[in-house]
Formats: sequence, C-alpha cells, structure tokens
Amino acid sequence: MAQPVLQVQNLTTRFHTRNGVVRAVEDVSFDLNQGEVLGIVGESGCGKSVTCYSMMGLIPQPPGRIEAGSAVLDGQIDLLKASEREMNAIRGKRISMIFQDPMTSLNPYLRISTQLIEPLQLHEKLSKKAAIERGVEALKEVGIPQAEERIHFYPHEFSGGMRQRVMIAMAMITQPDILIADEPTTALDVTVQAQILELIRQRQQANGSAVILITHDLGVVAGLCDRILVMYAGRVVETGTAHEVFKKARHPYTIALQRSIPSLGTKGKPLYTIPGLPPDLSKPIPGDAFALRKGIVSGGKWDHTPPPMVQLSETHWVRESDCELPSLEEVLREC
Amino acid sequence: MFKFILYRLLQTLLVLWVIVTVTFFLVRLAPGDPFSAERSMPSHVKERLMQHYGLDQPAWVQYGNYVSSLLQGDLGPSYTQSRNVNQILAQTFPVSLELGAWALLIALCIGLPVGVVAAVYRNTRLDYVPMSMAMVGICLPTFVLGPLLALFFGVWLNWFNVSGWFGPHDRVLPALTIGLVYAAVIARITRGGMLEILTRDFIRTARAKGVPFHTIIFKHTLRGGLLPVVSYMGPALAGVISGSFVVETIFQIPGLGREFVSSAFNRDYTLVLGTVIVYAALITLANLLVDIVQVLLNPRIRFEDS
Repeated sequence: MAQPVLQVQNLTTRFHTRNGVVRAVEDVSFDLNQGEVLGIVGESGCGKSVTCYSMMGLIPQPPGRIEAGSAVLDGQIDLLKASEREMNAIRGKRISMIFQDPMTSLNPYLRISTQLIEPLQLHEKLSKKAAIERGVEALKEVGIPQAEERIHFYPHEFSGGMRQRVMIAMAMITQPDILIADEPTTALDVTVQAQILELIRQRQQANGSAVILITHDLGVVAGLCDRILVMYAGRVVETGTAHEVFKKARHPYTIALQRSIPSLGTKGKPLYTIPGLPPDLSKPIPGDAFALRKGIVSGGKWDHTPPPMVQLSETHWVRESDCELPSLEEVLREC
Repeated sequence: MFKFILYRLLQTLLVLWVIVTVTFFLVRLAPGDPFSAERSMPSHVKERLMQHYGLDQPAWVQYGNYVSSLLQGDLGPSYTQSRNVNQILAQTFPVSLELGAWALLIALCIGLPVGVVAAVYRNTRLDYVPMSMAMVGICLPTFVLGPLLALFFGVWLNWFNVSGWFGPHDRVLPALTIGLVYAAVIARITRGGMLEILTRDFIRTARAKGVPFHTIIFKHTLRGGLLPVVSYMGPALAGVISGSFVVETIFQIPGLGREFVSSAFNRDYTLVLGTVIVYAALITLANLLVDIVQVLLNPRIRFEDS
C-alpha cells in the first residue's frame, strides 16, 4: 500500500483555562490514505474538531496547547512543528477546510469573487483575471447558476446551501490533497444536506482528494466514508472500515451511536438515546471514559487503568471496554 | 444613491428650519435683551436701539423679517459687535474648522493604529499600556489637558506660544488638546471593533486558506472593524468643531466656539442663530457623510431608495 498522505500520531491537545486543564484530544492516532474518505464521528465536545484544528494550526494558543504528537504530511513535513510561513503555504493549497456554519464562515464585507479566488492568488500566483475565470468555473462545478454574474455578489445575497457550495468551491479550487469538512451539513436544511454531501463526494472524486469528514451523524458517514474513526471524550474508541464499524461494531459507544440513528422501520416506537452526558474533560479520566457516564454499567475492570486498543482485523481496532448498554426500556424509565 | 443624498439634503433643510424656528423663539424667552448690560443705558437710547433693530415689533413679525432676510443669505446685524453676523461667521468659522480638522487628523492618526495594534496583540503589554493611557485620556477634560500642555510645551520648554493664533506652530497645542482626547476614544472603539471581527468564523476561514497574518488584518478585518469608528465620526466631527470653545478660550483662538458662548451670554439673538445654523448644518452634513461611508464599507446596508 502506498504511503498515507497524512499520518497523525499520539496527538494530544489541551486547553489551559482558568477552570483547569481541558484534555480535549488525548493520544489520537490515525492514517489518511490518498483519495479516501475518513469519517470522524462522536458527540459534540468529544474532540473531533479540535483534532483537525490542531493539524491545521488553527487552535488559538493560548489557551490551547498541542502537548504531544505529530501530524506528518507526505511523510515529510510535521504540521504540528511547521512554522507559520510553512503552514500558510500548506493551508488552502495542500489541505483545505469547510466549516459548519456557511452563514458565518464567509466574510460579509468582501465579495464572493474576492474570497473565492484568494487561494489562487496566494498559492498559484494567478492574475486577478485568470483567477476570476477559474473562480467562475469552480462555481459552475458546484452547481451555482449564472456564475459569471453571481461571483461578484456578496455572501448575504446567497442562501445557506449556496454559501456552503461556495465554501466547497473555495476549498477545492486549488485541488488540495486533503479536504477537511467540519460538520458541513449540520447548519443546513435537511433537503440541502444530501445535495451538499453528494457534492463533496463528487468534487472529491473529480480531484482525487482525501477527505476527513467530521460529523455527529452516523447516517451521513455511512453513505460516504471508506473508513470511520469513532471518538469519545477526546480518545479514539473504535476505528475500521465503514463495513467493520457498521456491521461488526464492538465498542459499546459505537453500538449506542448506531442505535440512536432513527430508522424508518420503527414508526411509533420511541427513539433510542444514550443515557447521561460525556464526561467533564477538565478532570483527569483514569480509566474507561464511557464507564463514567451516568446510566452506563461497567464491569469495573477498566475503572482505574486506561483500556488499551485491541486489533480485531488488519483495519479494525477497538478500545477495550466492559461497559454494558442499558436496554431501551431502561433508558426510557430514566427519562 | 444620488436620490438618497438629495432626499437627505432636503431633510437637512427641514431640520435647519425647525432649529431656526425653535432657537428664534427660545432666545427671546431668555430674560433680558441684547442691550441689558450691567450698567443700564438711558431708556430713550434703548428704545431707539430696539426700534432701529425692529425688536419692538411682535415676535412673529420679527420672525417673518428674519426668515425672509435669511432666505436672501443675510444673517442680520450683530447687536453687540460692529461687524454683522455674516462677517463674524466668515472670519471665525474657518478658524474653528481648521482647528477641528487638525484635531481630527491627530485623533485618527493616533487612535486608529493604537487601537488596531492593541486588538491584534490583545492581552499583552502592547494592549494594556496604550489602553490604560487611553482610559486616562478619556477621563481627562480638555480644560485640564490644555493648560497642562501649555505649561509643559509653552512655559517650561518654550517650544510653542502659550496662546494666540498666528503662525502654523500655534496650531499644535490646541489641536493636540482636542485631538488627544478623541484619539483615546477612537483607540478604544477601534480596539473593540477589531476584536469583534477577529473572533468571527470568517477569520478562521481566511486562516484555513493560508492567508498571511497582515493580509488578514488589512483585507479581512479592517473593513468590518472600523465600522464602529465610522459611526462615531459623525458625533466626533460635530463635537470637535462645536465643542472646541473651551480650547478656543484657553488658547485665545478667534474661533466660532467663543462667539457661540459669548453671544448666548449677551443675548445677541442674531449671532446665536447664525452660529446655531452653522453648527446644525455641520452636524447633519457630518452624519450624512458617515451614512455614505458606512454604505460603502458594509455591503449589507443599502440606501433607502434601492
């Protein structure tokens, strides 16, 4: 197998706040292969976004600090140790990002054209005229009608879905090797969500880019991702191919996430929810973080020692856990 | 856009008319008249004077006469000076305008960069030191700062004249006195505006595109960050010019501010009205200018007619 485009090893990011040290990301490792789609799933606040922001150098420091680890691009440059100058040459050219809220992610004071062609002017030193031409082309590729005129519009003249299309066009305009999509559909209408995901897949295949898709929606991941990384409380709890994580899930958290997807077959039945809340990351977690969750019963084996990762197949790894999920009836009774 | 400006100018005329009317009757409500001095003059002399200026007629007749001469551009005679109001304004307004312009220039040249630097390097010494100084500057009234500057640079260092308005170097101290106070306010507003923008999501987007730091500040942040400063410029412009009478008194500058205050004390009706008209026109025009600049800076604001 060819070398991965991106190798993340033992990434640890903490935020030193007044209320203590928040261990947002602890010892996260994964590889990203060329042209593959990797899904990172988990609840809000489990470290998905911080993982990616750390690699991009977008963590505000202070209070954030990358304590350990490496994120090596092409087996050459460690993103975590690169200078600001080196990072500026990588960001937007080799690695691009799409963000959650297209309403606030575009600068309202600048025309779409100005923002869209900025990566071309910065990284490919194109003239404004040539860049605008490429920009119009890019807008057409993401399905924006009358691109020649609308490229000169301001962001507020676009709808939410259209703005996310602009974001995708802007991220893909330099044909990056890696696209990081941070919950790209969360802020959008359900009807638009599918279109945007399809668009990401289409642009990814056209460019041959690798994609890291951050989401808390397993349903989104299922149709799109080759491999999946499940995170909980800042740590990876399960990773494998989409098939392995969906059909042979072993970690109770992964199973609970799957049960929480509302399916069409259960009309009239109550929906499954995971009881309790994720743990407070500003306090050290000695053992299995999932065992600390209210309503989850553990066998006690990993209460005080961190559970190790176990390999199940060439691609399937899972963190040991002896937690048991409560049944639907028990969850409902709790509520 | 031109429709909008035309509409606003018409509005300004209406505002001016209201102000003239209200002021006209208000000054006449004040006790006394232009010729009541500490040493009273013989009654027959006063009667002749009142008759000469038409002040013995009913108020509405006086008002009609005033407005009709005003429409011909005649602001009337001054009751306390040998010059008429047109002459007084023509001599004093340029002085105040020049002083105000220098003061604003100083305020912007100091306030903007200091505010931007403080926002970019927030919570460091580059933020704390200038911002504490700005706080002092805001709290320091001009009648304290002016004499202090005159004492330091005029009396002790002997660099500038303590008062007067003759050569270019006479502009320095009064302009600094007004300018420094406004610079302090502008610095704080700039810092606030810049901070507001710097924490927005689209700045993160720009960083993710690999935009270098200085481009982020100048291209992505400044436009939005300076909007609060622009809104402040309307009142500031008016304040700098109309509020300069304290400074004009301290430095003995023959400006409009001094005439404004003394005319009110002397019940010099026409001079009060003349200065009020000039100030009102200035303030409404300054606000119109601010509105236009705001539209140019912020694409989400549109002119009312479009």
